[in-house]
Amino acid sequence: MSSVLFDSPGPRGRRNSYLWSAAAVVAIAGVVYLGARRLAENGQFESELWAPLFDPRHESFPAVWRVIRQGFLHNLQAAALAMVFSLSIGTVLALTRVTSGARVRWLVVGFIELFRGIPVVIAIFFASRVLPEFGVDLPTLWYLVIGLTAYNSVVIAEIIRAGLNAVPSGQAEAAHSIGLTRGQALRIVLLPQAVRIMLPALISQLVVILKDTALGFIIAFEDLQRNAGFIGQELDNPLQAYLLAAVIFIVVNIALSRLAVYLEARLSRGTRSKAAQVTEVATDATTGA
Amino acid sequence: MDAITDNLDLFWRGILTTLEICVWAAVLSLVIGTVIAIFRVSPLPPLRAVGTTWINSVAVGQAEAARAIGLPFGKSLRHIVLPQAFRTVLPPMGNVYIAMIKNSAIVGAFGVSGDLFWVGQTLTGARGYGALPVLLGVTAGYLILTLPAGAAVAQIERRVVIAR
Repeated sequence: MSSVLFDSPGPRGRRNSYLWSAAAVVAIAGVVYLGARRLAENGQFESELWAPLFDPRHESFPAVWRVIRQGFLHNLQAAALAMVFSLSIGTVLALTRVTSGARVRWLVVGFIELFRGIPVVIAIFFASRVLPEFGVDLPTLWYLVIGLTAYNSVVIAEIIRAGLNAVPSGQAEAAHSIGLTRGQALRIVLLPQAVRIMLPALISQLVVILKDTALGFIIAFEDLQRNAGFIGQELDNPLQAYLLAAVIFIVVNIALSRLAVYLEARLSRGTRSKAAQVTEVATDATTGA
Repeated sequence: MDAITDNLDLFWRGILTTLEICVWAAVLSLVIGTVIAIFRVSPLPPLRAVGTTWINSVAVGQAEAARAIGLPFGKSLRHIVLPQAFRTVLPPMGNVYIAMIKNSAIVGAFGVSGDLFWVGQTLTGARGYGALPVLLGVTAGYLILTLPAGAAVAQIERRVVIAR
């Protein structure tokens, strides 16, 4: 932010600014210090609590990391399955919505609005409760995947629709005028352009799916978070164990977000503003995670 | 359908509890978010370092005009910049709040409170009702909250959006 909101200060203003800045630094440092002191008082900085997680020479280190790795692999597995299903079902929903007649369209819109209105937590929990009542007995992993897919497929359908809408209408008209059918126009002309526009939004939604796999704890899915809790209980260091889990999630998600930014820069040359619009639509959707 | 008709009062209280949690979260996050945004644009470097901001969407000319008529930082923010910034961000903020209604379900998973998700868990678990009717009830509860909120956001969006 340029300093449009205030004049560049004169000598007295600068002195005041230094004074207040110093006060602000002291206040911020004070808050950090108080937090740190509380933690120190409770012995949270004892190496005993950190070593099993971060010191390879510690006896528990291999076991701890085996459990952590297993947990995170479960997250990745659930995320990969949910991503594949959400993408395919989402694409089918979006294409049905834009190609079919009024009656089917309203059906699809109703379906989308219904599942967009349910919290993903509810979708996961009730997948694990409702399906067994109908004799569908699956491993926990699949209830999580089904819950995540129910929610994210409709969000992805909305992203794809926004992407299709963002392709200039002249493209569809041109495709029709050279004799392509509606299906051909969609597949050959519109979708490839739409994918370019919506890729960043799509990737951020996929990141949301990965993050939401942590909600598996609701149905006792043995993911990274649950395993970290387990370690915290065994070694009596829940703070450190959850911190480690958080760091792993943050690192992986930042890497994926970076990938999204990189792909956006590469793919949306010339269609930047359109991509930004779709990203906006998608952020509305992703905040609903 | 007994699961719903027998427990209408429980569902109703669940809806109210969910709403209550959201109102608290909405107010607190609005206040803290605004403070962080003000930090972000303030003249003091350490505060600037603390907090993304929406204020940037307000035309630069507005801030320049505020300064030209001699308003200091606090007044130009309060009278000129923030009122316009709030209008611009109302629609996205509305969407954040709708998302908050849904995200509030997570508290039920921690066994806190009597919110809608907790109602669903209690009825299917301890009270032994069938999961499908309870699911319908819980879903209806969330839709009662989110659909009107969504319509309201769309309405506000049409009304307050400023042409730039």
